[in-house]
Amino acid sequence: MSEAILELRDVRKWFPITAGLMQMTVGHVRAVDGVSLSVMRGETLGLVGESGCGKSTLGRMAVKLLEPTRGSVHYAGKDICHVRGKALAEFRRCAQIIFQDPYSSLNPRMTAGAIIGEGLRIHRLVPRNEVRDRVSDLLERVGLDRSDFVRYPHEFSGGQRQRLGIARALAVEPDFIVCDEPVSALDVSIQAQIVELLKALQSDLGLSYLFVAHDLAVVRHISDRVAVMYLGQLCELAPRNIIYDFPAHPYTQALLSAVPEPDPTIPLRPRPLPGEVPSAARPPSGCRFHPRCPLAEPICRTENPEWRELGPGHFVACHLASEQIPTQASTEQ
Amino acid sequence: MALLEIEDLTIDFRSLDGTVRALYGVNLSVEPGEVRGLVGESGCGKSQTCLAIPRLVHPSGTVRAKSIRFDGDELTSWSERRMRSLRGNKISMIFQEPMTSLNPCLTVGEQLSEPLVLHRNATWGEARERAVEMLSRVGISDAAQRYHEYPHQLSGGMRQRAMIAMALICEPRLLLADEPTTALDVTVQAQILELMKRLRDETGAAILLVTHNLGVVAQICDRVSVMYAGRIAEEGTAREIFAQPDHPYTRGLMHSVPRLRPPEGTPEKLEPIPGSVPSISAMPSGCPFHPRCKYAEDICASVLPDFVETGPGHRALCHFAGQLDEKEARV
Repeated sequence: MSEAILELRDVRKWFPITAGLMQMTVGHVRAVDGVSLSVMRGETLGLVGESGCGKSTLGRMAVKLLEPTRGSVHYAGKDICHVRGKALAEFRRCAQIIFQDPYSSLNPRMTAGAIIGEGLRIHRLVPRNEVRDRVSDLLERVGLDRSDFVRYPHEFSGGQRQRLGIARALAVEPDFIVCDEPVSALDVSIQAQIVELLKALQSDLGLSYLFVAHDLAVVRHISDRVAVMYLGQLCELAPRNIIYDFPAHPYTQALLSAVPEPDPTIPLRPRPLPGEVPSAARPPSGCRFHPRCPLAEPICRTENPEWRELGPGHFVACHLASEQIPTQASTEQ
Repeated sequence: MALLEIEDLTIDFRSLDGTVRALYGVNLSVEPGEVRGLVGESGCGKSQTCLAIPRLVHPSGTVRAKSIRFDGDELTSWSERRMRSLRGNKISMIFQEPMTSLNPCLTVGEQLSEPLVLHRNATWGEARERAVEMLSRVGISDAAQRYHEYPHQLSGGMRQRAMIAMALICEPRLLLADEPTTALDVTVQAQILELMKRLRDETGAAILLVTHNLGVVAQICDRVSVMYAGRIAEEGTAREIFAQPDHPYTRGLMHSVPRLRPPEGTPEKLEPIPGSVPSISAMPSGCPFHPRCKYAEDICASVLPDFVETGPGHRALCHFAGQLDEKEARV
């Protein structure tokens, strides 16, 4: 893990809220509000958070499906916000995305072969007469049948469709893939198949993943580092074992304590998390988590906590975080 | 005596491919005050089992049961009119998606009060008082104000709380909860699970909880039935099912779920169940799980197994239940 393959620098995505006959802009939903994040070559960076925290918006900006309102996105050192023509086409080949819902993200009027082969043709990666062979290889690589070439998406099960979505992303030989909730729509036994497939592909092809998900256990299983988002901002980032075993941000702690373990001998003891997630159009002052934080102090209400390094590779945005680590470790024993 | 006892429940659906069977003679019982889990993957028949109890299966389905006994009454012989007096009263339901199961044109309060007016002959005034009390009991602040709001004005977690309040307002004996937390965020899910546990303790209502989330099952259920392809594959207490799963499918499920805090010695790789759930129009012969089962032998492809008792109240629909550890060691 040396260089960053993808770097987000202080990116913001504000969606305008319009109202009235003239459709005047009356405010903004601050879906992503100042996030800096790097994905290293060959790693899986997990991005977790609850619905509406901006994680999917961030994922989409990483592959230029959305343009940031402010800030910049760099791929292999190059700013991709303003690229056009050949350079843009090359970026589209290098960076791919796998979507959550394998039902709505595949064109129902195209065969599996056409879906997977489309990128090959557009980018002229193989001669026309070899497209079919290449697609069959890809189908086989993701665990489908070579002859599935002629079938339509509705003829596949949910898990098979997700394999199809993966084959589509892999066709253009990308280096970086955003996985946007790739297993959330799948059954438990199928989830494990897809997660293991993604891991195998990564080690065979040297891919880098930005793995966006809300399932904390799946993210721990697949990620090297994990970032936690709340209301458009990052609250914590650390190597996965650090963040899961010694979460420093009160929100991360609350999130982890709320996951029910599939073991009746480990009782669920969620930390109280009063209230609801505030609206992203009117985020709270100071630390965005302060109205719900059990430890909040006056400073949290007024000052936005800075992004600081607690330990090697362990970053947190909390005024009080450093003092919590020892307490956390002692309560865990 | 069991609060609910279903015997030999079969459901057939008419479809373009002819008649397909969704449930194959399911037996299920729920004791008063217990939380009974019904676990399985999509299409296994868990929701249909749940819907058959208050007779809410889609009209294209033919439901047959030797008996569905609830609180001493035989529901299969009841008229539709009598069934209506039961729904929302002694038996009530909460569904997965609170937005689609609440009426968007009525205020939360109107929907909440309706069962009391219908079933308890309460006046709207009396019902309102009780509804506001119920809303605050499920943890909704400013209950008196929320009473007048419409479902779209509430957050997902609050809608699900309102659904629960509605389901519990007539003090049911049995609450049917079909994936009640699946659409919710994990922190809200934890709150809803706490709420359900607390209300069960306070009101003594039994809960039949349909879910695919093994974590939820482990945390809240007393007894569990695991379903696969229209049949119960295994049942027992939650502790036993998780400590000693005796059906290969249950074992497979446990090995395919990643853990938040992996216990010592957990392998780095998950062990997925190969293949996918069979389509109900093309069921395999013999044991329906045999094409995906790593323990399968010749007999499994031809003979449907019987239940094997592997402990008190713990049984599994497998030829080799109780011998899986030995088989594992031999491999």
